[in-house]
Amino acid sequence: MVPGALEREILPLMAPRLAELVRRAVPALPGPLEEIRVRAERPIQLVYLGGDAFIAPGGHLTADPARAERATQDDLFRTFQLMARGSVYAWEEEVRSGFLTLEGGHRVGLCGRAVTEGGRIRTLKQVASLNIRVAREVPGAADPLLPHLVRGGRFLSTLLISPPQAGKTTMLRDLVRQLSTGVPRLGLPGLKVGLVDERSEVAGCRGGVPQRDVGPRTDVLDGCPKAEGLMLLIRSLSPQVVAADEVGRPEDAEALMEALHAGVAVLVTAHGSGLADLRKRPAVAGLLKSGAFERAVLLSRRRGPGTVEAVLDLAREGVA
Amino acid sequence: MTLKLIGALLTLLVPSWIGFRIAARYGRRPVELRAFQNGLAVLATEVEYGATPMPDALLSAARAAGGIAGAILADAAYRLLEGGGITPGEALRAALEQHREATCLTPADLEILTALTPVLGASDRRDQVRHLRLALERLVGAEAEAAEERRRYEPMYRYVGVLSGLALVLILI
Repeated sequence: MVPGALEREILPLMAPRLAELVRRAVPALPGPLEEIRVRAERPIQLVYLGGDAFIAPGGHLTADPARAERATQDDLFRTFQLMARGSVYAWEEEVRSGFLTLEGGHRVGLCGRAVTEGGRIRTLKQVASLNIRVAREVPGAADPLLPHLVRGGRFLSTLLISPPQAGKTTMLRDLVRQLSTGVPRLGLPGLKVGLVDERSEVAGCRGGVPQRDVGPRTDVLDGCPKAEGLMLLIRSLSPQVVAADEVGRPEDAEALMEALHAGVAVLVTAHGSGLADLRKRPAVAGLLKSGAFERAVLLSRRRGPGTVEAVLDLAREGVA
Repeated sequence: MTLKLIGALLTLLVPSWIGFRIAARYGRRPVELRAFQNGLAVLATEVEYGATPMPDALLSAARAAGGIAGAILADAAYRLLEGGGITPGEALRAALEQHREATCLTPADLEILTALTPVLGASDRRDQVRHLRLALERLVGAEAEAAEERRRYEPMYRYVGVLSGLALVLILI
């Protein structure tokens, strides 16, 4: 069976020929679909939890790229146009940063020929690769984790550490949702959450409205650089928790310190495979040293995305 | 006698009517070209300053254009809203094709508009505006030419119509 979100939100925005191939191929996948990768004049690839496959003519799956159906330049152009709703100019900023967000929060990564100006990308033309990431909302993904992050009805500032594709964003989204809704069984009231969603990945905003459930007390600052966004939220929206995905730049750390000094709890994620990794990155190392975070959570893909490897109590360890 | 009179009147009226029809086509062409200019100017503004999505941008352009030009732009917008995997360029092309008979535009005029179809909505703001402005300039040129033809041929076809009617009456009487 083709999942409803795919049928409703993604397939209508693909070139009809590609959509038909994907529609036929997906039910045969051994695991849930994660990505649809379309590259001009090359085989169409489906990535699922646990592996990948190419689509052969007729919509069958094959492991052999030589026997796979190829996407034409026109397929790519048409799909890109449809995903941009026929208005590439309206998503100029997004295209420049190499992505589009579809309704439903699905992210489409773009690759092609960059047109540069003064050393910066002005736009992408002749889009030649699309990576359609099927967004998964996993309500309850944070259930086992949350009790470790709450003490005495208070949410503790937390750093989620994970390698790519280990469910970092999904976990962050569910944590935000639960904090915002409130968790009676932990004695946690609903908190005002300010979310800086720089790449529209967490809340999947379209036209400013979150397409994913991020809770009733969450304000989303969409498409905004994290450092500036965090300051804005703290200044004007009186959040009790601020959340952001993938911090790592020095200015992010500075803004987070500001938040902590303002008595706001912080929930952020960072790329890495462990604390040792992060300590090598100057910006994050500074944050860890300052004792800003009370909890660090390590995620992995060991038992599927979102596997909690460890919850570290940074306050007690007195991390140095 | 009465029958003769009616016959003569009809013989006069029909060629005159044909002449006026042809003259009217010369009269309407510059008006339609001007309407398309208004439409494209609004479209360029919507794209440049509003970053308005294409269907909405086409609808405001249609309102600004009015007449048959407005109908074509609106048709393109509705085709786009209907979906089904078509691009804005294809929607505009189909709309132009559909209404081709109803316009007074020459194939060269229509070509200015079809030249937009491969790029419509498919690139960044600056590129879109450049293409729209180019089409606008060409439409202005076509309008000047159409106005000149109108000045020359509009009265002529009226006279030709009426006079050939008269001539026919005289020959037949």
